[in-house]
Amino acid sequence: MRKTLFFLLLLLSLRIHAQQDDAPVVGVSDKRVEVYGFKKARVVVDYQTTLENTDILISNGRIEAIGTNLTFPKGTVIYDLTGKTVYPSFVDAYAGNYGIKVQNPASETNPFAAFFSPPQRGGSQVATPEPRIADYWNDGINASYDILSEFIPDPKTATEYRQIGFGSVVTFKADGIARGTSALVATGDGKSNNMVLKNETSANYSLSRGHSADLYPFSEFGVIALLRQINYDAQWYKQLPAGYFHDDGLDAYTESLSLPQIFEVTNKLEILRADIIGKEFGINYIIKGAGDEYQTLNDIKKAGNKLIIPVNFPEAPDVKDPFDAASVTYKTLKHYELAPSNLSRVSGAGITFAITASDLKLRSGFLTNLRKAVKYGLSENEALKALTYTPASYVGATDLVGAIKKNMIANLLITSGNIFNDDCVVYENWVEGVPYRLVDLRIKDTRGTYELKIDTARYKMILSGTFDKPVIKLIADTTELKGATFTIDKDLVSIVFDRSKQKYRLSGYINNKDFEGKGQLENGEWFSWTATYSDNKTEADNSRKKPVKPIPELGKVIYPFTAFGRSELPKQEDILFKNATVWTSEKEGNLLNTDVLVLKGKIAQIGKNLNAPAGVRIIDATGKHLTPGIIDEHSHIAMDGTNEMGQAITSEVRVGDIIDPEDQSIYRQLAGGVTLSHILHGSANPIGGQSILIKERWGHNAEELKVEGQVGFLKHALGENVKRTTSRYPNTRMGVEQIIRDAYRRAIDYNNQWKVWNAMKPAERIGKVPPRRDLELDPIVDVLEKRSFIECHTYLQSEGIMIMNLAKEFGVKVNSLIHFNEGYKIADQIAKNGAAASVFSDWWDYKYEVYEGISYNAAMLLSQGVLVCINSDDDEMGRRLNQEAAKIMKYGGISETQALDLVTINPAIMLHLGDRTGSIKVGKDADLVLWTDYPLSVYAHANKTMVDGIIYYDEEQDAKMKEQIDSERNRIIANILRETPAPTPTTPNLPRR
Amino acid sequence: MRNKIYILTILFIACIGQVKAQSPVVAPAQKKPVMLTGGTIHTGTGAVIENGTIIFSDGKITAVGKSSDINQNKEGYEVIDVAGKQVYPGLIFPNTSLGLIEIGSGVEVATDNREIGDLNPNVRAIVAYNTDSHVIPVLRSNGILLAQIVPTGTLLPGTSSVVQLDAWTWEDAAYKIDNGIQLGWPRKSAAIGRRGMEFFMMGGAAINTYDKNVEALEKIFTDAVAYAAVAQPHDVNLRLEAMKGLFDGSKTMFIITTEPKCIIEAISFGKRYGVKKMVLAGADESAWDVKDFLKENNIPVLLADPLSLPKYDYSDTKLTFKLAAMFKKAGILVGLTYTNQAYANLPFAAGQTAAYGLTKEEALQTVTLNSAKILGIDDKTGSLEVGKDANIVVSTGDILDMATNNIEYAFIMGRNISLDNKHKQLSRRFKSKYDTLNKK
Repeated sequence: MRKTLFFLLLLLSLRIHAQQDDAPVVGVSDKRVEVYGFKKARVVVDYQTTLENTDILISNGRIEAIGTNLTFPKGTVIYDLTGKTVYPSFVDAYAGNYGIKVQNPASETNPFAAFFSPPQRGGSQVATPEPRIADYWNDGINASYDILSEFIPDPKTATEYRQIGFGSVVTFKADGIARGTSALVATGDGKSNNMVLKNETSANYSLSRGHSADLYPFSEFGVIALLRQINYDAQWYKQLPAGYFHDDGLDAYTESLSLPQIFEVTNKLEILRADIIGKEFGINYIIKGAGDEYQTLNDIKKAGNKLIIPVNFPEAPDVKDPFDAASVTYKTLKHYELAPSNLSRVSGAGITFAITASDLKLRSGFLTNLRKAVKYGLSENEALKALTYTPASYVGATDLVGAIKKNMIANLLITSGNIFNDDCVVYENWVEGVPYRLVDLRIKDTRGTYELKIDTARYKMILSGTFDKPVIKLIADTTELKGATFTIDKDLVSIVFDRSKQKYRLSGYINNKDFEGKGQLENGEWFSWTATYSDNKTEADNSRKKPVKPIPELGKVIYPFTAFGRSELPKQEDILFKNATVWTSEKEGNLLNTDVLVLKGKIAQIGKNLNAPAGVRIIDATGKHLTPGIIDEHSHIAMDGTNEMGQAITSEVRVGDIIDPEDQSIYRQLAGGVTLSHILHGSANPIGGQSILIKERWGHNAEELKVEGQVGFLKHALGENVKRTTSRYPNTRMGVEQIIRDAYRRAIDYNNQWKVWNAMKPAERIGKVPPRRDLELDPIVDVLEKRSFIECHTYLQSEGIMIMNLAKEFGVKVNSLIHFNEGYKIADQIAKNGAAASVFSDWWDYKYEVYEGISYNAAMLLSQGVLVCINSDDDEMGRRLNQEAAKIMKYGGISETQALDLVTINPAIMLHLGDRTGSIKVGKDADLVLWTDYPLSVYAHANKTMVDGIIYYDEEQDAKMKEQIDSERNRIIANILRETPAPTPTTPNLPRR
Repeated sequence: MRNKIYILTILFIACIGQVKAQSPVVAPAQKKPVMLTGGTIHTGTGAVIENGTIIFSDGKITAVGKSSDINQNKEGYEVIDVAGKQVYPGLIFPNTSLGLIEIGSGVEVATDNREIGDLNPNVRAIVAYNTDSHVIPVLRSNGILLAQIVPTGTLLPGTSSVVQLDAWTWEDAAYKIDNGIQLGWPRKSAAIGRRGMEFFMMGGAAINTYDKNVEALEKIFTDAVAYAAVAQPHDVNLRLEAMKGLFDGSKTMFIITTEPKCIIEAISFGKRYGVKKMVLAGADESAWDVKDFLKENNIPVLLADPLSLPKYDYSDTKLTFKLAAMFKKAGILVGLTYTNQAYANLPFAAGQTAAYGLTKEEALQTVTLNSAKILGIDDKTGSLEVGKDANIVVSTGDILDMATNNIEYAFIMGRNISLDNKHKQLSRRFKSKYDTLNKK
């Protein structure tokens, strides 16, 4: 009964063309009846279910029925798919720029030209914002962009997608920070109207500024700040009374928040960064990763985002030449080896993921890499799910695509078998019920062994190679006839070979499993021939057969994923240092032959002849020196980017947003005894951003590096660096003072606005304009309210006085004057103002404002009672800060304990951590360094560096790790040389971005 | 006496209200023979003489040895008791822009180290050398008494000279004039940047221009060889004229490149054109990859700043510190240089190599005798030996360690030079400010 009804319904719809149209007919119409029936196929209905011997009926571009022994209506084009497998076509949730025109970067004017153009001082060329439409103020935010405003199917890309099995893709504009909305489109050829399956499938974002015409944001932390700001702006905008302010961008942004939010990142660290942005606003981003997720799998799992992952496995680096191979980094080699196992690991961790064909150098390599991922342990089920159900579910389209079910779009693949097998052939990709032929279904698999007969002569003929283009090997007696060729064209074959200086040309056709036909000799004489199939063996042809690559035994994932990372992180230990010279950086000074007991990450006891409690490891420190961990008060290690140069005041950017826990500088600082670093924004801006304190917990993630309970610091900068940016205010020290003053003035007014608003009763607020949360002014308010403190890059005495006076005027003081090479000229005033100074030991003359910088600066500042520390501001010098401190004994004659204090307790106090670290005192964090020698000597090595009672650097272990790194490098290089006969020449090593 | 002069100088400055510090007065020629007695003499040849005496006269060393072996008749000598102090050869700072760059950045007109164009073998650092640079006395006061000043740039940036660091004019300063031609070998592959990242643009440009640049070098060297064969050329070509010395051994070719293959190419290139003396300057860890080649060809190495970071992520954490010892052990002559011309840290760079494999005396050699050999001035200086110039430094303690480096005397060609400098002057000037304030 049901079947009859169905049949009737079908008849009604038969006359309808699969592709709807509302446009007038041009010329003579050519509508066809497009009802198709697949018979006796193996049907993979979805990633969970496979049905054998099953029929499918397709009409109107949709699946009409699926079942065994379906009755097909008259006029149905029937395909007998016995022995064939039908899959749902794949779905790509991430097809950036498909069907739209992409801006060519080369043709763009460089927005950064202003930074590099010659200065035009004192001119009237101060950049003022140009008039704009009522959209969001920043060009990197294009929330109101609708992909369908541009989308026209691109036949070339569509063909590529179809060839690798995709029937529908989510297209969006892959440019800018907020990228507007996407659409799910079919990969067929035809009118846009017919290809769009679903509009507004997601709102897309990234951390890349793209082709924005605005200078700001220039950096990743600037982008993050902007993304946070737009969220706050959207909240504010909602509360505005009507007619007050219109912003298309905010309207669109707010509206698109109800859509799936898809966020593109360029590495696994950014997954965590994007997630943190999302969590602040209750957004759970679906994150499109970069294929390196396995490197921080646990953190990603904890973050809980759904992922979209490419199969962009790196090409083998060129290691043929050992000299060239030297420039291939360890990280590159490790990633090359492990990348194919990424999906298997992501899947194993239970993370929801979709697979995308994005990021491939050549889209045509997709299936090869997909199959490689399966070989590396990704289950076929999970792979199929990630190519069908999951991407469809991301964009709410599981009722349309990703499975072969009634009423779903007829997007299917006809294959020769298991699509995850290397020799599987995809014959046809059907998109919206329209067949697109990739390989002729009629081509038979002729591979195997035959006996070729020509008159009385007998040859062994072996056909091997690929399914659609087999290659021939012809053996007469036991000799192979070189140069033989075999061509197959549907049912016709031709064979050419030489024997006894005679050319044989054969032409024939397939007859069942055999071949037969006619041939001609050089003299024109015709003959008959047959080739009789004997078996499917092709082993005799080993030379031509691609060897199945064995999966190499994979190295371990290391944390962090770079050289000197470890597969297991070092553990906290209870340790007793015996018989050391202990430099306490406390009143007690240096204690000879003294023991220090470390329990649970804290300094538990200091004294002579201490007894080790049970289970405590004893380290004999006889002849060695134990000091507090070195603190680098000014550093730029472990950060992705340094400056947000796009604006002069960028207090909104936070270094904490872009900590790079994989920067090898962290390890190298440990090797120089550094345990804590203050990571600051650069000095390009009068107010540059919020800094962060990290401990050198090598191997831990960005959040774990951050010092717990730290206060805030806001970077300010004066002088050459901030006025160097031409075409940006300020260009003089006069302007620097005014722009900082103005920022503080604005912050005060802003703070007052909020105070008034917060004091209002809800009823009073009705109809009033609420203050707008301003991430630029919040940190300045924090300074004014003494939750955060001023760190000011200062060189000339004039500007030092200026900033101290300015701070005083606003009721605060400067926490530290950084660099301040001319501090010695006003040491008394600095002391009176209660500011500290964080200086270099002997750097000077690297620019005009340090032409009077002197190496006696630190000692002279100390002599006037200023709290002083020596900083590095340099990845290299950071690992020799003990030596830099020692120089102040030379340049100014301070004592040895005063010298060490410059890099231990003094910076700790400066950073408001004086009660927690920076000295060897009971109860403080066990941040300690054991030195081989007098620690202020050039000859001293840090032998062990401990953070929170965990030894992260050990000189002996370092040597062992280096050996392991070398042998691991050699192992991977040997594998590359073995498995890849001809590595593609590549640039020596591809960085993460 | 010297102190008095300075006090007067400072008073003078104060009187005229001048803000800028002045370079100290240049020491006059040695008049009286000097006898340094009782010090520990580090000769620079590897030997250490405890309780030694060193005598110099008319700028030359006339005796050096154990005090017990040297006639202690002090008649007619200016005797300086250096008992308990350390005596060293004056340190040599090769491959630097000292005196050519007065201010590191931002003041273009204060730099004279890089001429326009790529083929400038004829431009000479010596004529631009500013003896009144405020930087020079700062270096001197840490024991650096000689420097090889070099033009910088790509391909053929110019001709270097060795100068002594206490002179009224560049003519007086010239110690070995026009001693070398710099060769900045073009880059073959991408440069490795901070944190192991490539500079894509630089790399791309390097790869695209490598062949073209090598061709340009081949052309000029071919022409230079031909030119040198003509005794009196009809048309004098300044560029080719300057290169003549490379083929007769009067000038050393200082090759700057940090890629293993480029090192091989550059040195083979030099051999092909008959360049007599070559040095690999500004070398880094990549030179270690081709150490056998360097050894076979007897090429000395001037290591770039040991106080720099290793190049690759997999490099030994302390590789830059260890390299000098590694080259020394491999039998390759190694000298040190230091990146920034304004920082007086060359002795400490050497100290760092002593912390990682060299003995202290070997480390000393990397900034004295070895560099003298590399610069072709070891007949005159680099060690404390009879007949050599009296370029001598006396330090309270170990000169290579910042904890003990404290230069008490320095002599250049026997002249007792001033150890004052801008830093000291400014510190005195502002100390007087605080002294006055605190008296109130």
